[in-house]
Amino acid sequence: MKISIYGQDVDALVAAVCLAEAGHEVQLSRLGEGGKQISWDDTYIDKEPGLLNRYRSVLGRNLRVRTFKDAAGFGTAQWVFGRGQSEKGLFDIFRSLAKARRKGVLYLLTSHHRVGTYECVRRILCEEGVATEEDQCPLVPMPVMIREGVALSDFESPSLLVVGTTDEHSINVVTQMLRPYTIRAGKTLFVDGLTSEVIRNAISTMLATRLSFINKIAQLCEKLGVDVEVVRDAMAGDPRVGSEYLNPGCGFGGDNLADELANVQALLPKGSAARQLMDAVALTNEEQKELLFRKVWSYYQADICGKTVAIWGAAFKPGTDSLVNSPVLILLEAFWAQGVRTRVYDPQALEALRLKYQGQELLDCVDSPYEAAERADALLIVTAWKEFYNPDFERLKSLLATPAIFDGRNIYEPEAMRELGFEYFGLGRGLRI
Amino acid sequence: MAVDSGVIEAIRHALFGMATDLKARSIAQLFEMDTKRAERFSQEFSGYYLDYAKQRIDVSAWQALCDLARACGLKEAINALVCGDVVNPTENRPALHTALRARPEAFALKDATVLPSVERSLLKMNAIVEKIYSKQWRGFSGKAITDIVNIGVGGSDLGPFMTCHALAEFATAEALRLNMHFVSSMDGTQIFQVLENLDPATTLFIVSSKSFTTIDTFYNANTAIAWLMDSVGDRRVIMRHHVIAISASSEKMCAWGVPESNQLLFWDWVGGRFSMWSAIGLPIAIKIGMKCFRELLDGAHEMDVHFATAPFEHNIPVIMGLLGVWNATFLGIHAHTVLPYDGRLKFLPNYLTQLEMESNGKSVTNDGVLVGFDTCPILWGDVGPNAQHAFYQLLHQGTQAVSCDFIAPIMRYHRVEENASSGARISLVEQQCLALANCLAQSRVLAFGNQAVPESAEAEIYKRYRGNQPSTTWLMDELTPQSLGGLLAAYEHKVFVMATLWNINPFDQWGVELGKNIAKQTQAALKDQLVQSFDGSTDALIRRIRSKAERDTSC
Repeated sequence: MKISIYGQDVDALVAAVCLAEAGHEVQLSRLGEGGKQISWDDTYIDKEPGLLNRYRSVLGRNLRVRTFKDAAGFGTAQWVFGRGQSEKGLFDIFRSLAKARRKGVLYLLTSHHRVGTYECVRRILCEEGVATEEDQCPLVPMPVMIREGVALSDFESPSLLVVGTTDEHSINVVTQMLRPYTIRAGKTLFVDGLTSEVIRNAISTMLATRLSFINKIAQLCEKLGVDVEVVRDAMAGDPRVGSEYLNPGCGFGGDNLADELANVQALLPKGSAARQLMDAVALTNEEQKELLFRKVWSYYQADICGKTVAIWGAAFKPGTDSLVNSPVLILLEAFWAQGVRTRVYDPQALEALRLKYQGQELLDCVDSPYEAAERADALLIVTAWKEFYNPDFERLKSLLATPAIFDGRNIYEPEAMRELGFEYFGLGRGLRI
Repeated sequence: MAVDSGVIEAIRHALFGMATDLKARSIAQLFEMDTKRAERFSQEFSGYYLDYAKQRIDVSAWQALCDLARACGLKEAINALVCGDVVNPTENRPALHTALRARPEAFALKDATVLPSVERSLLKMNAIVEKIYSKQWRGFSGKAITDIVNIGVGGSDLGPFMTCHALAEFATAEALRLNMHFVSSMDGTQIFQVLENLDPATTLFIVSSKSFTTIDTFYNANTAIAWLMDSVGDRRVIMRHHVIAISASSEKMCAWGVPESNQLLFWDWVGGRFSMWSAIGLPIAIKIGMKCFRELLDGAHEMDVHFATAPFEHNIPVIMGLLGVWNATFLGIHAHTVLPYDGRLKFLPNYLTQLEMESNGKSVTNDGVLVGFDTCPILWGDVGPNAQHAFYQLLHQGTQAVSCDFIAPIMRYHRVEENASSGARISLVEQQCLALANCLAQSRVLAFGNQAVPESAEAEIYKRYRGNQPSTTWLMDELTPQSLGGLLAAYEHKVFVMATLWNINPFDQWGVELGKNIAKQTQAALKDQLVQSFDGSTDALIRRIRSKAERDTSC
C-alpha cells in the first residue's frame, strides 16, 4: 500500500517506521506548526529507544521523507498526526490534502483535539468534494495510545486498537494497512468516529482521575499515619482496581492527560456534578505539583527566603526531555517567588530548562545529582529517573546542608532513609509535616 | 486676590433676597419664563452630562452665586488645594488627594517629593497585587491566598467597599478566584461572620488605618490575629504571610510587628475620606487590577484638571457646589438625597454621606467664629428604583423640602454580551431602559408635581403632588473605572467649593473625638473597674448592662 504520513512527533515517526517495516511504501512529511516543513535530527529520533536504528534501516527503501506536496499526491492512505497543530492548522492540512487528491483515498486522523474534531474534518472533506453527506466518509479517527519510551512496542502490539469507522471498505483498508499489528492487538474495536473520540477521552480522563484519586488517598494516609504504599499495594491486588496508574506522585505532566482532561471539562456545563468531578481531578493535580514546595515551606516554618534547594529531575516523566506541564515548572516558580535558589539536575531535560529560563538568576542547572546537592537545604525528587534510586547516600548526606529529602515519587523506603540519617518526607509515607 | 468680607456680605444679602423671591415661584413657572432653561442650566464634560435645569434657580441668582464664589476667592483656593498649600489649618496640613492621581506636568506642586513617593507606593501596590495574582502570596501552610479581608473603618472602608462593588464587572480573571471581604464595625458582628467561613491557611488581612491607632480596627484586627494564632502559634509567621498594613505611620506598623515588605505607606496630607486613591485603595486594585485602578485615578485626574481650569460657569464641581450652597444656605433646604439608578452604585450614597457630612458638618469658620447661616444638609440615599418603594413618598407628599441628585449611566449591558445568553441580555437591556425611564419620570414629578401630567391636577387632595423639589441629573455614558473616578472626584471638589463659600475647613473632623475619648471611661465603668458616676440616665444604662452581662461574660 502507498501510505503518506504527516506529523511532527514520535507517534508519526513510529507509525512510519513500523508500516514501512511491514512492507508498505511510506512517505513521511514532517509537518510543524501551521503545516510548515520541519526537520528532525538523529538526536530527536534517538530519544525513543530503538527507533533510530530501525528508522535508518528502512529509510531510502520503503520509507522516504518528502515534502507535503509530494506526499499529498502519493498515498492511497493519508494519515495525519495532529499533535502540535492548532485546530485551525489541522483543518488547513485536511483542506490541502483534499485539494491535492482525487476521490478514493482513505484519511486517518490521530489527534488530541476536542470531541467534535472528527465531525469538523468530515465537513471539510465534504466541502472540498472528496466526500458526500450521503456516503460513508473516508475519514477514520485512530486514537493511537502510544507511550513515550515504549512507543515501538505499543504500536506493534497494542493492548487496545480503536478504529473510528464502521464502513466495510474503510475497515478493510485499515486492517490491511495495520496487518500484522492488528493480529497482535489485545482487542480491536471498530466504532463510529464520534464514539472513537469519546473512548479516547474517557480512557485518558479515567487515568487522570485514578492518579488524582490515589494522591488524595496518599494525603489521607499522611494525615492518619498510614503508609500509602501498603494501601496502594493492596488496592492493586484487587483485580477490580488493578495496578496501573496507581502510584502517588507530585503531579502528572505531559500534554496527553492534561489535554484530554481539559477537553472533557469543556464539554461539561459549569457547576454540574460531572464538571465538578473533572475540575477536582485537575485541581488536585495542580495542587499536587506544589506539594513538595509546601512541605519545604512548612519544614522551614514559612521562612525560606535565601535558602537553596536541590531538585533531582525536571522532565515530566523518566525517558523524555520534555518539560510540558512538568511539576518542576510550578515548583521553580514557587521557590523563586520566595527568593529560594534552585539547583537542578536532570539527565535529559536540562537543556530545555536552560532555554526556558534564560537569565533566571536563582536557577543553577548542574551536571550531576551530587553537584545539585552541594550545601542545599533540602533535596527534592521530582522525576523518577532510574539513576536516582540508588545514590551514594553517605556522600549525599555529607553534601547536603540539611539532610532532608522530599520525595515526590516515593522511590525510597522511609525506614531505610531514617537509618541512613535522613529526614525523609514521601507522599503518604515517611515523616509527616 | 484678597477676600473682602464686605463684598461677600453684600452678595450674600442679595442672594438671600433673590431666594425669598424664588421661593415664591415654582419650578414649572421657571420653565415657562425661560424656554432656553435646559440648555442654559446643563453642562457636558467628558462623557458626563449634568442637567440642573430642575433646580430652583434663575439667571440672576446663578450669576450672583458665581460672584460669591469669586468674592470668596474660590479660584485661588482651588489653586492652593492642588498645589499643596496648607488648606487644613486646624491640623496645619495640605490636602493633596489630587496629587494621588496627578500626572507630573499637571499642577505646580510645592513639594517635589510628593509625586515620586506616590509613584513608589503605586509600584509597591502593584508588586503586592502581582504576587497575589500569581498565587505566590502564600499563607503559613504554603497554600496560595484565596480570601482577602479588609479591616478598616470610615475612609479605610467606605471608599474601597463602594468601589469594589461598583466595579465588580471589571474584576480581573485572577480576582474572580479571590474572595474580598470587608470588616469595619467595632462590635465584631462582621468579623465573626467572615471568620466562620474562612480557612486561616488561605486568608490575608489588610489592616488599614491612617493613624494605625483606630480602636475599631484594632479590636477587629486583634480578633483576626487571635483566630490565626489558633492555627499557627507564631505571631511572626502571621505578620509575614497573613497581614498587609496600610497607614501613614511606618513606626506604628513596625511596632505592631508588620515587616516592612508588608507595609504600604500613605501620608498625613491624605484625608481619610479622600484616601481611596492611595494605598488604602489596595482592595480595589486587587479586585480590578492595577491597570483599571490607574484608569480610576486617571478619571479622577481628568476631573481635577477640569476643576482647576474650567471657568466657573462651565465647571461641573463648581456648579454642584454652588447649587449645594444655594439650596442649603439660601433656600433653607436641609436635606439632600443621592439616588443612583444603577445597582452597582448601591453604596455610593453611604460613601457620600461621610464625604459631605464629615467634611462640611461644621459651624465654625476659618476665622474662628460661628457661622451665621446653615451649612451642610443632612445627606442620605439609596438605589433610586428601590428608594421609590421606601422614602420617595416623603419626597413627593411630605412636608420637608429635599434636594436630589439623580445619577444614571446610560449604557449598561453592552459589555456583558459574551456572558449572558442573548435572551437574557435583551431582557436586561429592557430593564435598563425601564430604570432610565423611572429616573426621568421621578425627577419630573418631583419638579412639576401634578403639572407634569395636567389631567391629574383634578385628583383628590391626597392624590396630589406638590412638586417643586429641586434636583440635578447626572448622566454618564457608562460606568467604568475612569468614569467612576471622575464622578467621585467631582463630589470631592463639590465639598471643597461649598466649604470655601462657607469659609469652613472641610478637611478636619474634630467632632468625632470626644465620644471616642469618653468611651474609654465608659468601658472601664462597664467592666466595673471604675466607680464613677456620670449622669442619671447613663448610670442607669450601665447598671442594666452590668446586671445582664454578668450572665454572658461580655464585659
